[in-house]
Amino acid sequence: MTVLLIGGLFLFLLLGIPVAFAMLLTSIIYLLVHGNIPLIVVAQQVSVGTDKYLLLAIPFFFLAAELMGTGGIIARMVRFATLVVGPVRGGLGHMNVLANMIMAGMSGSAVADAAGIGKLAIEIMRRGGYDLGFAAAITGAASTIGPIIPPSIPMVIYGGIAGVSVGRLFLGGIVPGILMGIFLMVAVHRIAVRRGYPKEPWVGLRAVLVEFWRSLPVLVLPVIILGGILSGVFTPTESSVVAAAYAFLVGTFLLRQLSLRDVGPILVKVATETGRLMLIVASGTLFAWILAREAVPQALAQAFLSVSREPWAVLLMINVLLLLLGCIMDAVAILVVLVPVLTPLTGAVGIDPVHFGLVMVLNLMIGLITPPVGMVMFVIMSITGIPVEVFAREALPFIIALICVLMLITYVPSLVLFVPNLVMGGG
Amino acid sequence: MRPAPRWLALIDRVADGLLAASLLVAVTCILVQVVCRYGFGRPITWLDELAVLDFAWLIFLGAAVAQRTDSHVAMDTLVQALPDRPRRVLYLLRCAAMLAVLGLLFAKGIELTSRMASIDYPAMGISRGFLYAALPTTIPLFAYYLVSSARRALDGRRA
Repeated sequence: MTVLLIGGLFLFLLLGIPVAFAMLLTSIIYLLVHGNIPLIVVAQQVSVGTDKYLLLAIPFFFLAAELMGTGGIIARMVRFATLVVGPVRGGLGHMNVLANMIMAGMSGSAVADAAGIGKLAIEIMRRGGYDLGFAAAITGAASTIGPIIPPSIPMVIYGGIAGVSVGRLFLGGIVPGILMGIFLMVAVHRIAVRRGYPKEPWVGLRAVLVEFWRSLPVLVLPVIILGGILSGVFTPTESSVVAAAYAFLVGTFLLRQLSLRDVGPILVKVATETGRLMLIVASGTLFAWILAREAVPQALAQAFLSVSREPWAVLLMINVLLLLLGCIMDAVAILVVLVPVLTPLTGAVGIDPVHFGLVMVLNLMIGLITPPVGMVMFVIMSITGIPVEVFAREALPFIIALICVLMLITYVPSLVLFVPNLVMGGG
Repeated sequence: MRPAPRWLALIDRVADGLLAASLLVAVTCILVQVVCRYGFGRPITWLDELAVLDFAWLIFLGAAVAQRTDSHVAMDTLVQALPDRPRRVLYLLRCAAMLAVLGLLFAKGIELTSRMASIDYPAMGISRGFLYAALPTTIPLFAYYLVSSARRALDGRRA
């Protein structure tokens, strides 16, 4: 029966049936074959999958990102980052990484960051004399920092399913996110030296400080979001709404780029995006429920544990499994279906759920830029029009850099757990 | 190809309007909640319930509208590589499969709504049926957009 479930799902995905429907269709066929479970659970699980207060943060984080793009906040971040890191070799490549790191503190979605920063940053790099493939690859790779540095939509989903504190998960992402930035910059540096990419002129400390001062209203947003959640003032859902409201105010009154006329189309776009993503979450809820009924989590745990009971080996196996799955499947679907399958296993060998959450989310973010299926890769390809093999070739060094970070946080858990334990106590 | 009748364009506009409104309602609920809790120290419990109920409608309406541009996440790299004819046949099969799923969700959604109608939300005091009704109510719109996609493919206008 398990073979039928997994095989059916992949067959339908291969035939091009949308992810949500592939999961629904497989589930329905399973229920028909099984015969003893009334089909009403289909409607019930799908409806219940949406009935979660925490997940309300998802449309609000999307909304904040969209308002920041239209409101000129992204343009300001790109300009600020250019002034700061532009003057080193391959400066605009570093600018791309830094702008994504700053944006990551306000947005929680890699796809939204790739679309928002991508258009602007790629155009600037192209005009600055960089290869289009390089610009595309670094934009895609850097956007994966978005959901690691808090806030983060995938971590909200993980926290909701695994029952782990979203505040802890958010804090756990700070160090790994900075590491990703550093490793990507090292990769950019090596390529820039080899290819002789240019430097941007240094404008002087004064000009940088002026730009910093001007950007300050934007730069405090991450502090509001994180501070609000951690001090217990806001729930994650509330903080996401406050972020959206703040982005709206800054875009409208401070940067004066946003008008009320823009808001209608933005609302429709964000709600459509939410419908698309949450339909996968809702359908995945049903599919995960069926996997649990078939005792797949126990079977998988047994298979893994029969190889080794060592946490490091279990983590290695899970990482390889997720990297492979991430190449061919949608990250959100993997998250919804596999978190309930994997967490009993990792719990059994004593892996901290916050640590595992970071490992899993970072792993799946790498899947966003690996061919043949990667949502960020698709966004970048549609912006630049470059073919998949060029993207894959240019992205390879960055993918390797990100896998190094993944290995680092997998085997040095304190890189993840130090900050949440420091701020929120416990261990 | 005749231009689409006016009332068909109206469907799009009403759907967009309702969708935007549903997001605005959710934002307003949570913002008012923030103000009430920290401004006045008195949270209004039914606001959170209303926001989550509204969220369900937002999701299923948004999913239906996403079908208008046929933009549901699919792994169709392989299918895209096929020659024109088999690709179009596969696309029509895909639409048929989706339509079958929608039909089942519609029927079971109605059944579920009537079964849950007697259970109330604790704070709002209204029927939980309003939550379960979101799925079957929005499915006709989803199906309409799906059939439009299929017809476009039949006409050969979808490259």
